[in-house]
Amino acid sequence: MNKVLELKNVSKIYSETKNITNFLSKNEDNFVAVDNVSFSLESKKVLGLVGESGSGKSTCALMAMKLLDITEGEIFVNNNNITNLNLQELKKYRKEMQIVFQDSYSSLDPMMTISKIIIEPFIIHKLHSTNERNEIAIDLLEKVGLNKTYTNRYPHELSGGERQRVSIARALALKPSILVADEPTSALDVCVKAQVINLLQDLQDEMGLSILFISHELNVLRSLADNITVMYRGRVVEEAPTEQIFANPIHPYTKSLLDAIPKLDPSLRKRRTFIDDNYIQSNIPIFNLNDVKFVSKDHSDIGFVEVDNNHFVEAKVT
Amino acid sequence: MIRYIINRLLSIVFTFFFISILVFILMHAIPGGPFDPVDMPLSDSAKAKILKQYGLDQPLYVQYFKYMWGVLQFDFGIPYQSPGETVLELIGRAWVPSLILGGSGVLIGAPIGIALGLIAAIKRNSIIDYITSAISTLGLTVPVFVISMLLILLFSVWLEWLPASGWGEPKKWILPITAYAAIPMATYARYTRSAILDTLNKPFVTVLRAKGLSERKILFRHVIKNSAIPLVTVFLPMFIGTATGSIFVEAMFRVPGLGAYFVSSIENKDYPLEMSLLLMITVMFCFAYFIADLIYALLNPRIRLGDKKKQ
Amino acid sequence: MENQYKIRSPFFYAVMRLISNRAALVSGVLLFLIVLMAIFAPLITTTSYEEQKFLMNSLAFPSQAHWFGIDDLGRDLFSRIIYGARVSLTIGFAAAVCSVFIGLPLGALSGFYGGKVDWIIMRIIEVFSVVPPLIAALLLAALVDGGFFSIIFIAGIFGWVQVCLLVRAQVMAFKEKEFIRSSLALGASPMYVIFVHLIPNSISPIIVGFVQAIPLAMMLEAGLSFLGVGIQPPLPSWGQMINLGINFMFFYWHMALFPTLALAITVLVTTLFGDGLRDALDPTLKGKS
Ligand SMILES: Nc1ncnc2c1ncn2[C@@H]1O[C@H](COP(=O)(O)OP(=O)(O)OP(=O)(O)O)[C@@H](O)[C@H]1O
Ligand SMILES: [Mg+2]
Repeated sequence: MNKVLELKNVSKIYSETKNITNFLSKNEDNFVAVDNVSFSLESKKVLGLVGESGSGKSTCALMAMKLLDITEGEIFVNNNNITNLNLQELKKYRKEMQIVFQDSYSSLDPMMTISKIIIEPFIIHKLHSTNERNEIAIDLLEKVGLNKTYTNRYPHELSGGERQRVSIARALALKPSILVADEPTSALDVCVKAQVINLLQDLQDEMGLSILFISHELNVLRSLADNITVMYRGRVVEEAPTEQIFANPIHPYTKSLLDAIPKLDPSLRKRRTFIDDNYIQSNIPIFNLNDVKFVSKDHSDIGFVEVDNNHFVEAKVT
Repeated sequence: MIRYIINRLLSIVFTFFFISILVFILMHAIPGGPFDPVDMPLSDSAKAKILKQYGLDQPLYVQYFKYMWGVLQFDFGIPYQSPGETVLELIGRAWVPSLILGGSGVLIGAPIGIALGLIAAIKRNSIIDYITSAISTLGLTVPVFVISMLLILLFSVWLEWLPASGWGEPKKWILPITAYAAIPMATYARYTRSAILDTLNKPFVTVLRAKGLSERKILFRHVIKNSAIPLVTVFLPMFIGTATGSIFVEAMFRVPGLGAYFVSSIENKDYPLEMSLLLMITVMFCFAYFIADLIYALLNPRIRLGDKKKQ
Repeated sequence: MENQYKIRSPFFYAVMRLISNRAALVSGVLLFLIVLMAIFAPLITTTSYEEQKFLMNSLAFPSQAHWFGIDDLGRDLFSRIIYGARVSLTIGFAAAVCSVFIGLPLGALSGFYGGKVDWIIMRIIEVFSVVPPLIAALLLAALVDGGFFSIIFIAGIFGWVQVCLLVRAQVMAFKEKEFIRSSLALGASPMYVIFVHLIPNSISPIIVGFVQAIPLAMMLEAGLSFLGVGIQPPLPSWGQMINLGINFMFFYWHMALFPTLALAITVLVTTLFGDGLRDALDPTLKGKS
């Protein structure tokens, strides 16, 4: 399989190096937001990244886009290591991958009109003439289901769904092959959410996009994703093809996420039990060394194991 | 907390030396020297002798280190304009009138300002509120020599109630003290008003009202206590600010205080006095802000110094 | 419908807020009049500020012919006040431009890069905050020997701090926003982001900083001229005239009163207008500066 985007053993530590205190003494308040995470996005596939709020999903996305310093690990785009490239060298890869954020309002410069926002990619990369740019902008608007009456409006004059479409149009302007969508639908109501997801699906077919789709709800991913990676507290705890996750979740955290999906059948509805950390820590799956083998491991007995074809889980092996 | 204090002290030391170097360079960059009187030029040999006597013939950096070494031992040198005393003695002598006038100004202006601000906040949009905001705007924007001039014109020239200049009998102090009081009064009136209004809009006040507490009790038991913090912290810097104000107030009212020396030491290239005055002001401001921040932290349980993540 | 909707940009609301603020509106109008007077000074008064045309009537009190009277050297005081407005406003305006030119890039860099750049710039600002501007300006004025352009330069040196802090705060608030990240993700350079996104989004604090720098510069100029190290005669400056007025105030009060009032009113009006503008452009900035 052809991996277009790969994170290899990536970690992110947020530390406060802001004032003189930290120049003088080295005891900083460090916070490990992402801890030794690896996953990869295959060509023309959709990878769903799921996890609770604060589990480090956005941090991963920003690091994958090289918008955040990477504390440790490597990022590959089309099998090229981009971890240590400078801004100039990165520019060529910027065309290949784009990102759409959750907050559609702060994603668009409030001082710019929609058409200006959409042609910004061409200005940055010095592509096309002014006329061509405007035409392409209108094309792009139509592609995401808007029309040219929007061109002279300002972001605050659009609805959340419309703004998100503009973000998508801008992200697709350079015809990237990879799209990172960081919870693009979380702030939208159910109906608009479905529209935006359908739009992304259509665009994927049409443009041959590979999408890293981040969400904190599993059900959003069911129809969309080919594979799902589950993150918990900055670590990947389970990874499998979508149906495999739904049919046979192994890690207690994945199970609790599945539990959180509202049931259609009333008879199946029950009082939700919220699982706390202790429960998850103490219910970590345990396997026999003879049944499975480590793909990687951090400690002597805890690591990532393949339990089934392409189904990986963080487990204890005895 | 301790780390924060050490940091601030280090930063003050850094600022102190930085400013001392800057002032020293600037001071010596100004053309002319202390012993080049225009009207009565000294002979070359006499000048050389006097320069040698004051150590001014040495390279600048030697002069700087010698002077700073003295400063560290509280020896600020001898002022050229009045060689009979040390700089410290001169400052100590000249500061008395400035301190009396400026200090009384702040001590009188601040309570009046607080009272005005309080009344303005309680009786919002009343006449008193408008007058208060007019006064505070005037006091905060208009330079102190303009206020002094208006006071003199009104009370000495037209009404002939008070003497306009001089030093000595307390009657002559009234106008300069009033001029000094303008800034603290204006500052406190504005701060108090906005602090009280801010606090009155906080949810906890609504809760107290809902509990049935009378407005008076809410105000005196809770609101004032919670609004006091910003008022305490501006006090010291303002007090020291009167030193700069003295330059103008004392020129206007012809008071023989410290103010005139700021100008004359620069004009006469009185290096030791010039340097001492500037270093003194700088250090006082540094400590004033530092103490203000500490008081702020002590009074406000929500602030923990050292982790100012939001700044 | 569509059109009506479009007009209501954030700017529209800012203008509405400014108009509804009576103090700011009145000061704005007064300031505008003062500016007009300064620009068209030669049309308003026919005597120049240095002509000693009325030596015979030196120190004459205000009259119909000479609204503000005549000074000790036989010059029409009204002319001198009007031309003094020219000096004061030009210095205020030019110094504010200087302040923005220094403060804007430093604030943007400091806010955008943070870390060591920020640390250095903040230390510089700290130095500026503990040295009273007037005393430092006295030193500088002695160094460069007064004069029009030196005063502008000196006032600029002390005016940029506020602009820098305002821009820095705004840039810090915006740099983590997603549209900045989007732009970087598209391959934009930091300079592009600063100039195309961050500075246009800081326009409110820039305007506020600019307008607030004007009265500060005017006061500094008046203070220095009052002490005799600012604007040098024969160029008229209100501060200089006030100082001269002290000598005459008991007998010829007009020498002291008119320059004092002119300075007081101009500074007051400019400050009030600046405050109104700040509240109008960004209600959240209120009282923070
Ligand atoms: N700039 C920062 N400085 C310090 N800590 C940060 C910073 N940004 C994020 N964090 C921390 O890193 C952790 C992961 O944040 P991240 O934004 O990646 O979570 P997320 O999975 O995207 O959550 P959500 O679903 O709410 O978007 C959080 O605990 C957050 O507090
Ligand atoms: Mg997120």
